Amino acid sequence: MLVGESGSGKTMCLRMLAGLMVPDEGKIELEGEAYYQSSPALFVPPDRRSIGYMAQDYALFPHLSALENVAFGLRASGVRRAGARRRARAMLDRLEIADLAERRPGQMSGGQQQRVALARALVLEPKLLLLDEPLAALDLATRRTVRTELAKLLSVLPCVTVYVTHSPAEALVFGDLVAVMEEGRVQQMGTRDDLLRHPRSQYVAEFLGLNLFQGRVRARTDDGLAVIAVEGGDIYVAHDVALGEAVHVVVEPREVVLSDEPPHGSARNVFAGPIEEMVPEPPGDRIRVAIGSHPPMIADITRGSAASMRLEPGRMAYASFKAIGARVFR
Amino acid sequence: MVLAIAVLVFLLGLPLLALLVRVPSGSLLARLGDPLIQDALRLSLFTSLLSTAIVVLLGTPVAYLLATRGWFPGRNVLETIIDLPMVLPPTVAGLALLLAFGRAGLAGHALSAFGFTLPFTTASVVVAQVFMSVPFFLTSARGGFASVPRSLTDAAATLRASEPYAFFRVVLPLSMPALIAGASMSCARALGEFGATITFAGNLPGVTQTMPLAVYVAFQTDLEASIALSVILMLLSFLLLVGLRVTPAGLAGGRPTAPRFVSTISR
Repeated sequence: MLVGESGSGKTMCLRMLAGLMVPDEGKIELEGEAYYQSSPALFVPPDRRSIGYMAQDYALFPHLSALENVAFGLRASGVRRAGARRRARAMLDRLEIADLAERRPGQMSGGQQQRVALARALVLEPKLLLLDEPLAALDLATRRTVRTELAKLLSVLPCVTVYVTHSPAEALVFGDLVAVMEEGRVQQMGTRDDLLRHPRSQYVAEFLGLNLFQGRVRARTDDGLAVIAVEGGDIYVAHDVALGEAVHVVVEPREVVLSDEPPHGSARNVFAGPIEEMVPEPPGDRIRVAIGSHPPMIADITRGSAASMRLEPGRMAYASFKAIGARVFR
Repeated sequence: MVLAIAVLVFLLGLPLLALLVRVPSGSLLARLGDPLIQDALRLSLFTSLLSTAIVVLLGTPVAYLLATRGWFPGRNVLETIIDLPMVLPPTVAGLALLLAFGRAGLAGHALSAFGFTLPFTTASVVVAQVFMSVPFFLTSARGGFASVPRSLTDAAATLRASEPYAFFRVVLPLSMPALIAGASMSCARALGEFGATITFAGNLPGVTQTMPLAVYVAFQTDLEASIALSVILMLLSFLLLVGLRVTPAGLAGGRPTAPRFVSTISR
């Protein structure tokens, strides 16, 4: 999972992995096979790498039908027409777009184009799958449904997948291994928990500045809230989610209120725990506080508040937020 | 603006109208029987089609090179040379060809050694036509190749396609309208070639006297004949123009699907 803002270099990275761009120096290796080396000089062109590449705009061939698009790579590899079409059709079936087989890209929606592009890359059984912001071109409504399906699909694929996105939330939902990039450098690479708990730089901490939980809707309250069971505890959210549904919950650190004694307000979510870490944030008068509660919480407070409550690592603190302060997505 | 349109239509349209109006009716078909006219017609069709074929064959790789590669040593020189015939006065071109390939010319000696004399042969007509019409095809072909989005050729590469495979399966089909338009313009130019032809190839009936030359000759003696010839030539050109305008539309469906957003992210 390569995550970073626009211009951080993540697409360039992907293109280098694909062979569409040549690095100045270094080494690119896949399962022991070198694709690029600066010394001794070696460069394997894209058509000889075992890759599947999906560009941000999908790059479907407009003069070919969906079936022909998907069969393209097979034909280019020398597979005979009948066999290629058969395998292409099977792939379209697998992605549930068999009915699009004879359609041209110009006659498809964004979501459909994306699936054709994916089918086209996957039918070649690549060892390395490269996805450049697969969800960016979709409108918000489609994005949500596609994201779930894509996550499901990617989890069963045998290939290594490098997924580029500018959305930290997406990275955290999808990624086994997440690398945060800034200005051409990888700032930190690790699992989701690694990054959330121990950001090794200001940038990563701020960039991923989210409280993210995964859980299932356990119950619904009388006053219309949903209770999400996440690891370590329950979170109350004001969302219309169905019982039993698996969801992600995001709470922004600035929605989290800290106090040094149990709060009396209207917040339905209260978590207590020792302060693990306090990291000052730019521009300078804010502090990010990590609480070792169940589940763990990150809160943003002003330096002044921290001082007046005498918060310091080790002390017990109470983190609370309102049910409507939590964002839910599937 | 209306005035400009009116003047232009008048200037361009009236001569064409005049030609059609003055056609000696009925005699047109009779004229076609004249062996001199048949010779000229046959020669024109043969040479212009051959020239176009040569231009397409030679021009396509060059257009592809210029459209897809960045700078290389000699690029500027190449581009200038191939654009030159478009701005060169045809008779000047004819003289230049003579000085290069004529019996006493730069390459003339070498050609003579092989038993070839170029000037005043049908082959020289083709050479003159190719010389003058190449830029018309090249400009269009080059534009066509360059208009194929890089993302498509990139995608083809990641789909195991070698460059030749990608050329024939992606670039060529998508730039076909431009190629056809270029070939049609080139053909039209070759068909109408006069200055270079008469200077380099001469005016020998049946051998180098193409339709435009025949019109000129007829004009000196028999106005009616020259009008008839002109109308035939005009009809041929018109057919080419129709072909030019019809095929791009017919081959559409190759319009690249751009997503409804502008990709400003992470490039």
